[in-house]
Amino acid sequence: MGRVAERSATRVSFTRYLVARHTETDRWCVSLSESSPFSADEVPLTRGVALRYSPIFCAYLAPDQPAPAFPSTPTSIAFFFSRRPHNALGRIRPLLTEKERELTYFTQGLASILCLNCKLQRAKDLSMSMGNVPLEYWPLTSGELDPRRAVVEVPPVGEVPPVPSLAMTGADQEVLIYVEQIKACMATLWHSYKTHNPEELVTLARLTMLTTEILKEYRDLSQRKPADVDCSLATVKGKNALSAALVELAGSLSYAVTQGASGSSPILLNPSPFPHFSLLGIGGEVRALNKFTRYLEKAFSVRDAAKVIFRVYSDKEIPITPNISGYRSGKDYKLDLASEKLREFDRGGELPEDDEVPLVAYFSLRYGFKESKFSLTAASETLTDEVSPQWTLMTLSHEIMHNRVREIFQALFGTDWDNDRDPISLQNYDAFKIWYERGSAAPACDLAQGLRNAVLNFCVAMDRLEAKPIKSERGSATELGIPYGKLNGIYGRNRPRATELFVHFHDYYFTYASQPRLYAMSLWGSWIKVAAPYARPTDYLVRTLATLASGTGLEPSPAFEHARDILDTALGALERSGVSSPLFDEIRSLLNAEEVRPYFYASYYLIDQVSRYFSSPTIRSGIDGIDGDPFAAGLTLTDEYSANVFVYGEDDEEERASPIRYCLASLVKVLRAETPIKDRLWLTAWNALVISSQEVQ
Amino acid sequence: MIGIKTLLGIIRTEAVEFGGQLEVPDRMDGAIESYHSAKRNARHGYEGTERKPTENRAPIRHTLELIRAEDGTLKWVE
Repeated sequence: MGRVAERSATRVSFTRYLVARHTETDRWCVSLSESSPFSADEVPLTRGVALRYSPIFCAYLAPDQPAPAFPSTPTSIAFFFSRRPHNALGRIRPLLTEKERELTYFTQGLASILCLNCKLQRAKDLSMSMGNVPLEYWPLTSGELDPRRAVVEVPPVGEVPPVPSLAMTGADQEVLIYVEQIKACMATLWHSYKTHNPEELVTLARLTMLTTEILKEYRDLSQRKPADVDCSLATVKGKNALSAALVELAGSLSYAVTQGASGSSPILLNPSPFPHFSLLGIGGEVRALNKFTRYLEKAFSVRDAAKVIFRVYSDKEIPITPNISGYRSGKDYKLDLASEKLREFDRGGELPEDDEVPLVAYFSLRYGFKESKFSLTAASETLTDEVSPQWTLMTLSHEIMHNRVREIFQALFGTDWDNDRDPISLQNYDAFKIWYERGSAAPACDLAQGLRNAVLNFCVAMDRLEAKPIKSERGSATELGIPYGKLNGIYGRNRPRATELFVHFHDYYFTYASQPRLYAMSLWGSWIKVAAPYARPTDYLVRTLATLASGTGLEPSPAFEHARDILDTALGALERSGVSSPLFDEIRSLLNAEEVRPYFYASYYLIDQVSRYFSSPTIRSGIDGIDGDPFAAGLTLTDEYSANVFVYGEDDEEERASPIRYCLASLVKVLRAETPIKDRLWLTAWNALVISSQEVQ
Repeated sequence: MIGIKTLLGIIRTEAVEFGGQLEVPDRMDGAIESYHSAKRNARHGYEGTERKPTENRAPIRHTLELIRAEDGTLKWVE
């Protein structure tokens, strides 16, 4: 019974494993197999030989056709280091014989395409057809490779500037080790990126500029003569923050080196630290992360949020109500995407970002999906199961929005190196006090201050929400007073909730094109693998409801009903597609819990302000989302769709799929249980192949 | 995505809020579910940082309250 099941599984698999075992004669025994060397109970590594392997994937599939036969002992392997492998496969397809197509594979590494059993000259011709890409060729004798006979041909790289200089001279002794590490990473990445990721050279240049500025601040602080103990402490804290930033930079760049540069030619000299991708690495997957990230970064770069807040919102008077209990929303808060014109965020002339630092993207099992100031991680599970709602690359968009919102909060509440103050400045405290206490009688304040006030007001509401027990009579003025120090604490404790509302709105509006059911399905399909929603389901429920209600302009109670209906429908759709969790039942029961509505009303108040003042058709027009995708509209003629697994890359500009549109379409297929094949690893690698091949700069 | 000047300001703000602690804490050991819980909660508030009162301002008379109404439901009043 077990054997039958195994054979059946093999028939639907289009994944193979390329395995290289080191021999005692300093050669490598190379073979192909249907399963990973570690899939069997008895692990062959116990024999003590060095072993490297990577999954490889049949490149040319046809509907309803089984996987082609493969030679377990190939006579040669040609590795092609194409930066746009999806397009390269499209280009060479008409040039290949049927047999050659069966022996062509793609990978998740920098050596993105490989052909088995072809002659060296044929490999050179194919390399030229792909656009003169780097080539490594292994002639094999009875499955054995003598590494000295491997052929490596790397076309000359065009004019590339030298590695940007980062002066160590004058750097404080305490941070020299980090500077050296950053410099070493930069040099390694610069060398690799020249050939494999030239679009990323600008990232390294910007990171060098940033590091230089951090070192300058550190030096300035080191030379400061503090007047008293408080100043001394502030100086040390400042230096700690700067050295922590250098640690974070060095750490991110180390990951970029080990993940993005391994697997380059000569392959056997550049193994990947990922044991299950040790032969070819995951350079192609990292390139996909970068393409996805750069695509959204580019869209947002047309409007610098800090500039809008400082230059436009600080000079504009639009009142925001302080009255959460009587909040009504209304037509000013309604978003009409179909006939969207410029909104507040778009006004004030062109305000592009001008020295933005792109995020360093890599995979992490430990951090999962996470954003920090300089970096972005995707869960390592995305390398093997991106096609599940839990590990879809789409989760990355949420993390990228965190970076955008980080900038917004810095502009609203942050300090700088010329000031030394609490997060809520005295000026902001006074403004909030007058705004709240005097209500409509308060003197007009600018919109930037109004947004600050709305965030603080929400934080106070969250603080009051947690007051227990809940009384049936009003508290005294003394009980309800908020001194300066307490407001700082209230803000500090509740800012994460406010931040999440900002982030969710950005992700929903910009990335998901305000498609409520899809967004809710994506969120909850992902969250069933995250522990926090199980621990704090109400938080996650309310942020979902508030996001789904944003932009409706409905009064709070109907807005709640509206969002609840959408969420209920989305959870049902997830369950019908096989994604279920006890968490869903918990969420449904919480919808009737008494504390959920007041929590929602306060959240709705804040997210309405975010929606009104941070929505931007200008930015949205740079994101080719699923709203313009024929597949989302119900198209089933998959041959007409560029992201079809049976359709190969084109060089035609109009045929390119945006990473967002592509990922969302893939997610929709999964949620509808309409994936064209059942091999999840193959689909995962294919999605990365397509995304990594897009031109987004 | 964030400009250099703003990034430097963010580092400065973190010095004030967190005293320069690393953003990603090293207390994430545990089972895989715990990893994913911790990483998404890494952006915690900064109430744990000891702070000195810096100014004796009059308190804000903030009257927002959650109370139990006569019909038994919870309501915001102010």
